[in-house]
Amino acid sequence: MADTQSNAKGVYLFTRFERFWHWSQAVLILFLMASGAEIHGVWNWLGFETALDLHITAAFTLIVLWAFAIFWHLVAGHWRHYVPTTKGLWAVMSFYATGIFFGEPHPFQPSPTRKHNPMQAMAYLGFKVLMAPAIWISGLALWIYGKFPEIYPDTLPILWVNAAHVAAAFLIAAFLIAHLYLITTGETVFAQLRAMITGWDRHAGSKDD
Amino acid sequence: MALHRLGRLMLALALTGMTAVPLAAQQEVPAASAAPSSTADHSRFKELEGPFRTAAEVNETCLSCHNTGPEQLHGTIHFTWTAPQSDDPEQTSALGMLHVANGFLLSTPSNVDACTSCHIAGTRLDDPAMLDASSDPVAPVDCLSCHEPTGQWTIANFHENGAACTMCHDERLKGDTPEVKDFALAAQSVGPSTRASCGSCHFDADGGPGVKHGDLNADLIEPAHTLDVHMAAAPDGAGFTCATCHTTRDHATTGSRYTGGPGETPDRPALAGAAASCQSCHSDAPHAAAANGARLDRHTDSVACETCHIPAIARGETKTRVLWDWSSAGEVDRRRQPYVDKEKDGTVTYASEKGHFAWAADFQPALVWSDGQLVTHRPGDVVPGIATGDVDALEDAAREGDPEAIAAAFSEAPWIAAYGGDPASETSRIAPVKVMNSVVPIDEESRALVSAQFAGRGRDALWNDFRWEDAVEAGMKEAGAAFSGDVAFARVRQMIPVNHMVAPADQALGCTSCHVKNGLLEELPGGFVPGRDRFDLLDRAGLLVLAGTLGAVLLHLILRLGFGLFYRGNRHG
Repeated sequence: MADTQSNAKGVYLFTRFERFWHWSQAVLILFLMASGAEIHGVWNWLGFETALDLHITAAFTLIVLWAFAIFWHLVAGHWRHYVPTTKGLWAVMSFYATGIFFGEPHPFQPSPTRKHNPMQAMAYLGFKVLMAPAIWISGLALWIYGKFPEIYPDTLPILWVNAAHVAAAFLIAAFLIAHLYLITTGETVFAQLRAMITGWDRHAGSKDD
Repeated sequence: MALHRLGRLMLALALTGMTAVPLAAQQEVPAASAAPSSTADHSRFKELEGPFRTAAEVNETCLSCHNTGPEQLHGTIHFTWTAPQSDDPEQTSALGMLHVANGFLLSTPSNVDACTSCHIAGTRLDDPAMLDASSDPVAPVDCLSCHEPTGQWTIANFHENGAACTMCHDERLKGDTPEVKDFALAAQSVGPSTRASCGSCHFDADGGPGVKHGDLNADLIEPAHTLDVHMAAAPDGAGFTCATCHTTRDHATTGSRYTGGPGETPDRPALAGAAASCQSCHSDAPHAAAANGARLDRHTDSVACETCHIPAIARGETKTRVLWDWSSAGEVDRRRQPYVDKEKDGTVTYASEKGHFAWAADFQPALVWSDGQLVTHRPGDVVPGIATGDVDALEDAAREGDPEAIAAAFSEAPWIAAYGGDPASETSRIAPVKVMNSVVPIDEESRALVSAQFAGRGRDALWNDFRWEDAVEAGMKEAGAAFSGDVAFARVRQMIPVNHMVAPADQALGCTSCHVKNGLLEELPGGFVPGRDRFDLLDRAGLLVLAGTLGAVLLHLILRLGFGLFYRGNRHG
């Protein structure tokens, strides 16, 4: 690909927009979880009403960010990274189940044409097409219930909408735990973190495997 | 105009003070009474100069001009003590004080003579039929009962008519009783009703100051702004009288516990004035001035205004009764005389005539779903759920007013009067009520509520001989209901509406009064209350998923670190 760069720093894997999207999304999601937990009655932090106001603001910010990200994925063709495949999936799964403990090499090497291993791609796809839409559709419904009750459909029980929102939040929280751990399983503990900060992956391949 | 009248009255009082004992309370005209201007200054009418020998003569003089007054009043609840029937088809009998039973002074049958001390007739009546305008003779209508601005006319009337002391006092008081010495002065003082004149009956409802209503008592005669934003004097308050909201037309007063509901927005023209509901002035979207107004307005279809804006009951000086245990009435002292027990501040906690009481001040109301429709019971009705066997005497802690002990003792007690309502109903709102806890006499066999004759000359009256069987026999005979001859006692509860003593906005409830775990609405299902509402199973499942993920990750990490000691190798070859 034309924008592929490769030198001593490694391979330029994550573009500036991608990193901006990733990190602002990370901050927003962490904030949404903390404020959402307060609205849900789990703890006291900002005060209920402030938490609710900021939760709504952060949620709309995230939706705008997603709108840009979706556009970027479609136009820049990055959606291809998330196309699920079973090719090499077994190898990756058995690596995480056993090989990783015995110092075996990772069966997948990221490259600008395929940044994520098959398991990772499926998890991210699950996040993007299941968890994220579930949380923002239910969240928008909750917001409409509060803000524009006249257009909220009476047939939709709000307690169930809220339950869907909470369930999606739990799944995203579980995703986050797994994600935070799995990024430490790169070549070195901080290799993948560094790649997402600088954009350069020292261990990626410049070509497709 | 009001000031002018006041000045005149003070002058008149000063003059009469030299010659006669003045009507004590005429010196205490509420300065804040917002009397509308009138083209008639009654203090200048020759007809009212007297001399009058009796209160009835004063009234006749009023009616010589105001000759349709009695007709107008004949159909009103102030005269008939009968409320229009509710829409509820199950509610087949008439409502109103003349008919229903409660947990205070029980019910009116056989007690009409004593109860009518507070009737607008201005005199006592022993025949309830006289409250029906079509009967002959019909009860009179006493103008000054409402239109003498200090309320002392009415209070003097009770006493001069020989009302039963114990009806309104827990303790038989000694000393002078208020008296109207100068009928002409009182006649010339008439004007619109005032907080004090309405309060002469309503502040002492069901047995004395503040007994029935925590939100209606003499603290409202001159309330501070912090106690009642509407009735406090300007400029802090709005200087309202009762009638500013309880507007009248042809002497019919709007607003009653038996009519309307917390969600009702009156369909009357704004120019007709308020109609005893918050919404009639404030609309159902009143929070525009607040930064979070839209969100607050979002509550009005499920939460009554009073719920947030009257955060506590009896916020002034006067306490209200929260427990009345009739079962312990009739104890006498060593000299075989009735006695009272008092707290240091003079609050009566036991009276031989009435049993034990507990009082409370500045306490949170109970919150219920209310559509404003009272479900009531009458003497002879069996309250569903009433105890079927003997009930233990109340514990001392409950009788002494410990809120938790009272709540525990009455948690199973059925409602002698309760508001209907449910979360799904469009007319229902979450509304505050004062819960009254009572131990009342019932028919031991049928378990029906009974009426009991309290006062009177005969041996039957409870307060003469303390024999419940005789008192109830007399009461039930008057009520036209069957009585087995044996009396038992049962615990009941009653909802008393809370609509007055609206606090300043900054004292209203905040979000986290309800939007938390274990908030004010924890025990009240219905609606959607973020912070309270959750599916516990979902939360548990969610936490399980999080714990499982974390556990798997930690296990993986431990294995990785453990094996890492033995296998050090570069990945990717």
